[in-house]
Amino acid sequence: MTSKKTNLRFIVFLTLLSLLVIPPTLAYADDDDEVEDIVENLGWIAVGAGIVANIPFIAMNKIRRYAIKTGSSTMQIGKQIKTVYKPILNFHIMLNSIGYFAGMTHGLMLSQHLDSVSLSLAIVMSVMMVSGLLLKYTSSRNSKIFGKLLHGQFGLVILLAALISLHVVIGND
Amino acid sequence: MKSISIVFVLFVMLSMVYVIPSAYAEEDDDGDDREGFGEMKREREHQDEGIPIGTDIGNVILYGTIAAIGVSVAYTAFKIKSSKRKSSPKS
Repeated sequence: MTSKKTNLRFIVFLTLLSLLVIPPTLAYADDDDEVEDIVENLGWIAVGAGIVANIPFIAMNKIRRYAIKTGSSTMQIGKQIKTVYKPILNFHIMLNSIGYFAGMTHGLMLSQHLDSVSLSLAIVMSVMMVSGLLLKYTSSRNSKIFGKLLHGQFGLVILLAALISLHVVIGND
Repeated sequence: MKSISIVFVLFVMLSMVYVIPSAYAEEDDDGDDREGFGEMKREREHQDEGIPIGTDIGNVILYGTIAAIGVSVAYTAFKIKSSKRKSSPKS
């Protein structure tokens, strides 16, 4: 109980610290153009974090499933992958959270240029994030299955990738 | 303890995320120093925004996305329900 309380205090402290440090940094930047550059770079960081967090994770899962499916000769590879699964999952969660918050900050600070692609992108990102949180933090069996199925929907992944590409193309024009 | 270390690393990485873009932010354009030039540039940028909300293509993209999410959620719920029905014994 005490350790839980300490953890909560630590999390609240870090959140407050982030809130106190980040907005003034942007607000006291020399001029508007510089702020806009920073905010644009946040978008690229979100894209980069998404690529680094997801492509190796999806590839690892596919290889693991294939190794287990094909039988005894490749079973060893599947077992080896299982030992590194947890750290890679944590890496995936952490980098995706960073990408999500960087992307959302980018979107909120450039909300004056809001268009339908950006809004759709924000909605899809939020759905993926919520399903991921549901998968990680709920104890109910049904919610876990729901989160797992929704988080791994191929259609949503394709939609997200298409919206990101469209957003980058429109943003660069 | 493990969760606290994850949160700590997350915090450090988040801080880095906000510091790195500031370091790579481009220097001011010298040509933009003229009076009113920045405002004109901004106005022009506002005029040629990508696909604004409310236009035909914009609505198709937005409502298409919302529909796709709705279909995904419904499909997931249907899948769970059908698997439950299969697993429950017949009366």
